[in-house]
Amino acid sequence: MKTLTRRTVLAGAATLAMLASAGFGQAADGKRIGFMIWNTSVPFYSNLIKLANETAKKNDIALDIQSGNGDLATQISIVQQFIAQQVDMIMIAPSDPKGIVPVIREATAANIPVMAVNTKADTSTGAKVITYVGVDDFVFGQRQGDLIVKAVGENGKIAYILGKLGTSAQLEREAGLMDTLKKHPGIQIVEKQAADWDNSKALAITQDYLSKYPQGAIDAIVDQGPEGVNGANFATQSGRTDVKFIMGDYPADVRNAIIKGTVYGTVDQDPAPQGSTAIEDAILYFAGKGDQIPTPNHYIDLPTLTKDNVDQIKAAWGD
Amino acid sequence: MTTSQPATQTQTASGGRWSSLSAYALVLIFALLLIGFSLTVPHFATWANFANVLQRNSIIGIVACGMLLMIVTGGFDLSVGAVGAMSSVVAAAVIVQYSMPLGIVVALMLGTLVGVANGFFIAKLGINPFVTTLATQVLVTGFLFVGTSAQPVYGVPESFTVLGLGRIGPLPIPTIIFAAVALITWAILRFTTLGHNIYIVGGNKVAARLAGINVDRVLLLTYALGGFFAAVAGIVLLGQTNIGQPASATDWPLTAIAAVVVGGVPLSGGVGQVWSAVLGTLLLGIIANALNLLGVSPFWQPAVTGAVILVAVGLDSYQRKQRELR
Repeated sequence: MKTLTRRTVLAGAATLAMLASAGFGQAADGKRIGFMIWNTSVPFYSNLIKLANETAKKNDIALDIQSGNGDLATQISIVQQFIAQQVDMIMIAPSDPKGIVPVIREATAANIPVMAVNTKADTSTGAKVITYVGVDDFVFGQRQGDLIVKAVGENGKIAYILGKLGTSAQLEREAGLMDTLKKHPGIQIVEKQAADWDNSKALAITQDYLSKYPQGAIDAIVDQGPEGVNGANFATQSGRTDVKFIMGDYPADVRNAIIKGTVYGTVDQDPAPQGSTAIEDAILYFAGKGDQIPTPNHYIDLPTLTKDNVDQIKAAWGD
Repeated sequence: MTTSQPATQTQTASGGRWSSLSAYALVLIFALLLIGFSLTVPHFATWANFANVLQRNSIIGIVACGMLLMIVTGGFDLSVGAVGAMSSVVAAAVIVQYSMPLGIVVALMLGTLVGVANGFFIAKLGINPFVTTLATQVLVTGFLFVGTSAQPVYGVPESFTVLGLGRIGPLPIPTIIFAAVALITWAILRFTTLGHNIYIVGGNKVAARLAGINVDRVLLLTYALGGFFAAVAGIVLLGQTNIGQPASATDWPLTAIAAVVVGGVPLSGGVGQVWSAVLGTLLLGIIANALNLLGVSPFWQPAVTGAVILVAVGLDSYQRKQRELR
């Protein structure tokens, strides 16, 4: 009993000593950030991850990025694991803004700050996040709406390809698009199908739209994501140049398609600056300059790309 | 189904006749749907639309052919999606680094290897196919994530999309590959000893062993073929998307099993023809296509697909039961 107690005391002292020494080193750098992304294998995230890693390395921050594999339970357990590891900050890109809320509260209870990156977390019920670094998907949808007007004019029939139903990007981009189209009553959405951000499904839906609406019966096909680009190329190959294609996001294949003329335009939600800005905001926070971080949202710009400016701007990812 | 009697060649023959009789219902459903859709769904009955349907369902069709073989032996394979994703990622990586033919060969070999591993665990160690293939699925996906940091592989030349999107005359190239795979599967089941043994092993393993059939070898070869076909499908997928995506193809195993089962093949093994897999795949394909053309809300589509599976399999099982009672 006595030896046991002594051992415990010794162990406790050793831990304290280690914590203290680690603490001295941590004054400026050496911070640890855990970053949970709902699914890292979505092509969009590759440059976000790359830039986040590079920025972290430059500033001596240990960044641990984990994938939630598209499953909410996995996402929650990853965040819980970060809490258990006592990281200095948790960054999250959740697939569901509400489903992640309970685990944000757990982190807050453990005094670990949380930052939402790229996808939002629901803060309306009091969950605390430092800020949201990303884009405003509502504005994204509005810009796509502006592109439609630019492409087809005041009157036209539009078919719409949605992302995965219920994701915040799908919902808000749709709301934004509808908001713009309200001001242009001559433009009509005649079709809506979900492609789940999946290339094969987007191609299938595009083909079905083209079958259903023969030459001249439809003016444009709008995709919430970049997945429809194969469909746009397919349309040109089969002589359907009457349909204008508008994508969302700006990977290399969409850029090539705009140059070739198979895609009319896209809205560029560049993932790279989101990755670096998130880390830069974290550095500000660690330095005690948290008040310099824009809250509740730190929005990144959303440029619109068409044939006119595609030459000047590099693809956001996929080169 | 036929476990109470010793399996012999005549048993297999009667099993084949049996399944073809009970599957007439499906041919009828398929024909009726085809006619019904052609009359009521605008733009359905055009070659351009049929070519699209064939093109987009070819990948699942290729997987379903392999799945059929495994289901006839009384098993199935949940790892086909992981193998397909692996095949497309590995092919993409090797094509970018070295050359196109090498990428295809390496991907096909790896797929076959996973199939052989499945067969080994099922035949030699006697682990149940569900558990085995679930484990290999998770294992393969895990290695894939480790190898790629769960990020897609880019840089495959755009010319490679010919394989997934190209056409020879009016026929989509993936469909030609699908047809070849279906033909090979048919030939294996019809003309080779392996094919005959697959039916016997699926009908009654013990009897097959007593009849001097090397059951382990049959299972090993069947799962190897399943893995090989999944890898072929993975390469066609790469031809369609041009990126090797580690998290893709997750819905393949269940969709392929659904296609085979809708085609009238019972999961209990011992019976099944390749055209069941082909017809089942196309049936699910034309329904999804018709729903899109009709503009049915995306919220309703999964519900309709579920109902179709239940109705098709229900009709088939009911018919089977009636025949058994007689």
